[in-house]
Amino acid sequence: MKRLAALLIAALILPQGARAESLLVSLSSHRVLIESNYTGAQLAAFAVVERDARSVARINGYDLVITIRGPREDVVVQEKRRVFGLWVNQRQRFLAGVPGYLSVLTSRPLQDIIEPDRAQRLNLGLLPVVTATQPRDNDTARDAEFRAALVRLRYESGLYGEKERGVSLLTANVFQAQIALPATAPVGNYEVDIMLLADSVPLARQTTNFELVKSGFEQLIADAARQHPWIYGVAAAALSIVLGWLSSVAFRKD
Amino acid sequence: MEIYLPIAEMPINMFTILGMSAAVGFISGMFGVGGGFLMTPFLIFTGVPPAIAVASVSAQIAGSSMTGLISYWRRNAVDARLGLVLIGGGAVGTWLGILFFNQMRRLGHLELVIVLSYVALFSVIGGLMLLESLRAVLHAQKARPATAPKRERPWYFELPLRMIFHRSRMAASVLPIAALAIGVSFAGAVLGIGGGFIIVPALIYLFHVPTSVVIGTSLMQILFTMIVATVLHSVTNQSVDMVLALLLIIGGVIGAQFGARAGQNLRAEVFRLLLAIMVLGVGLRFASEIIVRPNDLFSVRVEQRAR
Repeated sequence: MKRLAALLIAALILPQGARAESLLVSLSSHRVLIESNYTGAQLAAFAVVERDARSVARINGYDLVITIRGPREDVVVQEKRRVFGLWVNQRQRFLAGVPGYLSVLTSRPLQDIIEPDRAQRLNLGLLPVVTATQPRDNDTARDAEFRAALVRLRYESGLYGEKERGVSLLTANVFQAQIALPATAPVGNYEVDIMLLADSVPLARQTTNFELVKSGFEQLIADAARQHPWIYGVAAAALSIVLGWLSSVAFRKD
Repeated sequence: MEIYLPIAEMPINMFTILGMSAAVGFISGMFGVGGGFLMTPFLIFTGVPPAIAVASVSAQIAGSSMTGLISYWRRNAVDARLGLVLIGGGAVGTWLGILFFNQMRRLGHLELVIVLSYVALFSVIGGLMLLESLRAVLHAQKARPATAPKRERPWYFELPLRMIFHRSRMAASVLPIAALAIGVSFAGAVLGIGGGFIIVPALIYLFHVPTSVVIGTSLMQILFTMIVATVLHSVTNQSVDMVLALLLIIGGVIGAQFGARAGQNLRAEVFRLLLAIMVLGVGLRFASEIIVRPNDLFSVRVEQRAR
């Protein structure tokens, strides 16, 4: 439903044929592997603005907003309160389907590209994207506070990020951006959503995606733990015992 | 050098973990304890999710108690019969502990339960150990002639199901012994500790088990309960990280060898005093988590992740 609504809005604000720019998008990789020395990854995204005969001249140039969304997660945001002198979690909100990773890269500061209330409607920016994942009914100021806390905490931990000049112009029509994944970014599918704007008006939108996956050994361990928990558990215990026994043989004093 | 932990889904500095587990291994070799009570908190404060820290440390304790048990067994310092009774209680306690662990995890209270249990258990036991060892240190300085206190048979020895334990030179009901094992292994499964520092003094003071067999016997119980805990944690919540456990075992084994040598030159009272200070320290460190106003009142916990 939400997606359908977004499409309808996009269709309304992007009248076909009136503006003739289109976007060509390419990622440096569609599959990022986690190996044993993984400490995060970097991807490059390229976008080319294609113009045709009907395209009017854009005096102020083009703006690009790239939104990268990691796999959806259900999270609980908790707030500590002082109870009998102890700081314990008192209130909490369950937030379903928020992105596990979120990055908004822009060619200029977002507020210079588009007015905040329109950015909100187009789901541009960290808080608008997170808000868009939540049901609109019964939304209270308290809910907004918990959402803001989620965005702030994840911004501090590097899972959410905003880069004002994360998109750079290579030529007048070619853009490049670096997507940085921190080591703690969750495994799964990442959606890269690229929007082209000029003079605060959205002109074109393209979506592509990439996958963050564990490679050979890491995947083997994770699969074994999930799919064959009994075998995995017995193997883990056996490994420990054998190592314990080996060390007693290796360091035997007599 | 960073290494990626496949279950915790985070990279961790290999040398930090090896150094940390070697340091804990050194202490555990010195004091003849498993060291889980130091290792689990260390991991939690490093940023490893508590559930994964608890479950992976149980695998490590299984390894280190295996090493210990073999050396005590060679010296014939294990009461196998008493060990079996402890194992029986331990199996029940571990099972209950895992059930409780998973229930709390589902309800989202696991972290609070771990923090509060560490605070309560470690402050109380650390405090008692500190008092006892301070008294012992002071007495040793007065150089009083050591008179063996006349021991009365406590009432709980006379409960039904009595058994004779030759190696421990006692005849007592198995009920209080099993109850002790249930309690300690329950805590062990929830907190990722072997519980040696609880069960050893308990066997000495409550059951008058000779000090010559008490450590070997408790290691027998710890080995068994930690094997069960490792398997059950794997089966019920998939939080045993084998890579992490492997690093912990390697570091722990190396540290323990040096610790055992260092421990031989230490006086028994000083030894217990140091251990008490460490246990109390861990309790206070956890207490500071809930007493000091946190930097950020909000926190995020991931419940479910799309795959």
